[in-house]
Amino acid sequence: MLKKNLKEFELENGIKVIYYQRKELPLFSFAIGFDTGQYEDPEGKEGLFNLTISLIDKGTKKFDVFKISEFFDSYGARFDITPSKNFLTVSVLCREDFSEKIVNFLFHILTEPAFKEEEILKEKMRIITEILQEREEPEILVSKKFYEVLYENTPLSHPIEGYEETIRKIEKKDIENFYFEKILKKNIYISATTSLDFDKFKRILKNTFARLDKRRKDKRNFSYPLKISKKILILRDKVNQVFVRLGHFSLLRRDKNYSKLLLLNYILGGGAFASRLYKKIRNEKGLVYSVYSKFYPLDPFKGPFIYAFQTGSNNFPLALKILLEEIKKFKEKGPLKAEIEDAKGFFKGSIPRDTETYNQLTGMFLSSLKYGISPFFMYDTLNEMMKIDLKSAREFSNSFFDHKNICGTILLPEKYNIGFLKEIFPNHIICNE
Amino acid sequence: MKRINFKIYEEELNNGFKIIFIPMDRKVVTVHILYKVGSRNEIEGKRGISHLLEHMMFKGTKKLKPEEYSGIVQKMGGVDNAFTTEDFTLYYSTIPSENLFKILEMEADRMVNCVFNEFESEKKVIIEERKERTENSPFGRFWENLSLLSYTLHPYRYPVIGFEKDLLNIKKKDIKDWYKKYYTPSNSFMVISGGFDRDKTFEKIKEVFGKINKKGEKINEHFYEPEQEGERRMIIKENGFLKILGITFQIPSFSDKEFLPLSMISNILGGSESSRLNKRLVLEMNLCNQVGIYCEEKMDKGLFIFYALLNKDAEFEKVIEIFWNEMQSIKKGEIKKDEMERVKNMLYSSFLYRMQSTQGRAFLISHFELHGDCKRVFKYLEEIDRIKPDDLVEATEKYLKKERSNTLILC
Repeated sequence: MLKKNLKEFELENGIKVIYYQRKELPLFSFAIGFDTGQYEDPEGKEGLFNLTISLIDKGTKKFDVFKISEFFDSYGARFDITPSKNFLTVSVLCREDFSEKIVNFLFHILTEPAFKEEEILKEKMRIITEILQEREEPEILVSKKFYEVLYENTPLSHPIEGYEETIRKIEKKDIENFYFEKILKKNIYISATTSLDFDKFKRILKNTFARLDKRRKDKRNFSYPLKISKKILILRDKVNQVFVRLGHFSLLRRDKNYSKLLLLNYILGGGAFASRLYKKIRNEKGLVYSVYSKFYPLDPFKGPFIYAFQTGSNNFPLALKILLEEIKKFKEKGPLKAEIEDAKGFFKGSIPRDTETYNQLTGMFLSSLKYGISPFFMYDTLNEMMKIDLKSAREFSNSFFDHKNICGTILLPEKYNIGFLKEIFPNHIICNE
Repeated sequence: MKRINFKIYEEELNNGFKIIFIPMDRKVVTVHILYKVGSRNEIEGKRGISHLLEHMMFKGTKKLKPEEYSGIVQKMGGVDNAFTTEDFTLYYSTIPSENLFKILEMEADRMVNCVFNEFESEKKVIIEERKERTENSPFGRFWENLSLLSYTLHPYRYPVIGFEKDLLNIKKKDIKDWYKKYYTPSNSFMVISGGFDRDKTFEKIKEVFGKINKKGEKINEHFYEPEQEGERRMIIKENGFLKILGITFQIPSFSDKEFLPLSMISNILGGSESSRLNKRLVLEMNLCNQVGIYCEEKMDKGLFIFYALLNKDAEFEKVIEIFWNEMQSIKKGEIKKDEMERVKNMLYSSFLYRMQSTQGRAFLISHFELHGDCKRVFKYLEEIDRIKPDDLVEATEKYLKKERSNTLILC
């Protein structure tokens, strides 16, 4: 990556932009980020954020839903709307020669959505069906329930799509208010990686996103206290495996220990074949197909740190015991020096691989704007990581990991006896859904 | 349509091992080794052996301990993995360019020196994988049954992962024999894309792969599936909320000239947001919340597959009726100029997007090479461009007939 190819600037209305020129292929990768997310959902109308953004491409005053889908497809463009707990990303990948038409159109649909009653009804039905269907996918079900337990009593606990009953309550005026107040007026960030010349790119923005109102520069606010509930929620289903999601909170993205967590998670369970959990539970014992730990460093609230596996009913007690033992061992003794060096090698070599495609770069630049960090943050993270020594890694490991202070969900076959769980989690509340 | 400029270079060693180089201005390099063996080569009682062998390839050699291969790759900052399909088994790694020679040495080593450690525990892992992906997922059960319904004799009807009973029956000797028969230089090829010195790399390949004398001949097996006579239908009642519909037809292999028109039909009908069936069934009538159509790109007869996730109150028969109406419309030649253009643009863009990464290019070239000629990649866009609506009508009449369809309902 070349620093000279990158230009960072602000439009007159305060929208921050990163442009990166790459000439290798005639492509235009463009993303717009909004400082909003599921955490803005009002109580009783869970799913409002998701429903609102899923209607963005379902019609404007000028174009109906069919014309919008035809427009992107006719230029071979890939259009995506990606909601998350703390952000909204709208992105498009297309050929450079179609960039102006695509951005003009994108600007139109983002600024003039019609939110027609007919489309709202259809979208509600679609989402409700999806919720019902997903109940039959045990892996999805256990994952969603995990968030309910982890973020209990906050607007982050519900699934992003909400619940059947809350979706039904949402009305057109809720959607319009939410869109124009909680999305369109928020801080907006733009990033692009393209073969398109900088001057032409600026001209495209001048005719589109620069025309939006001046940004209010609101700070993202999340006032709910986050506390681990020490609850293990038991679910039952017609399955022949046990599905496990345990976890706690991770760190804020801006936390000074972010690079340490990245490194240590790799060693414990994030490093696939190289991780301790994988070696112990899969390779040595053959108990699972996949086992891992992962985390999401969010802002303005802490994201989750998750331990997950699924296994045959007979294997479950042993797999769970090993998982907890490994976390305990990692807390008490920390990583080995050799493990730290191997992990550093992995992250050092990852940068060229993680910056190969136009979309990878665009996504990275958007993250840098979202979290207020350098566009080349991966080099900063790497530099910090290279300074981590055994002592500091062990100190952090000891303070962060805690096999006792976790919560989670376990989905079991219908008649599975869970008596032994009380011995494993003596201080937890083990409750059925 | 614009041409995309890039070069590929082909070489072949005396032992029949072919190498394809795709130089790119990158600091990383992707290496593929593709063995031309998959579940279609398997026999009764040993279903899943190719996939099991893929797992065992990570279990060490005379020089490496179990999982050490991946450990070394990850220390370099690389990623590696493998997957098995009905037609082939592919091992890939993407690593910083300076480590390329190490990968070449390790790939050559495991082509001949696998020791099959941890054999029994790895079978247990695969049994868990099967439960995870197939038995405990309604979608897994749906796709497994769709193949069983769509073929009567061809081994494509069986799942790549095999069956638990077969997996338990496979012995170490079976795996060794499979490895000996199919994992040979002449039954495989390598694709290298990214930043590397071609001459030096080829020298290294000659050094490490050239000395492999593993006996074996070029295996060119094709399997028989009788012409389908009569519509087939299967209903699986699970009594849940999920309602999935699948309709399939047997179609020619990817290398057949009639494949592309069928692929374009699949795109017009169900390949995108603006496709006919997505518009009708999802956006307009709200009968489904997801539909899709695609053509399997296989060595033998693949499938043209339509699938739909129906909404709670939607009726299967209504969705099926709309599907056949649209098919009828293609048969009548009711194909708009802008539909053809849109599909061609989408195929061209999709091709371009795959060219972004070393991995994307390697997959593209591996795919064309498997199907007979890696250089077809340069003609591919022109082939798409030459297709006319009449070709679509002809292909529909020949292959997408009701009496040759298979319908699966899961509800």
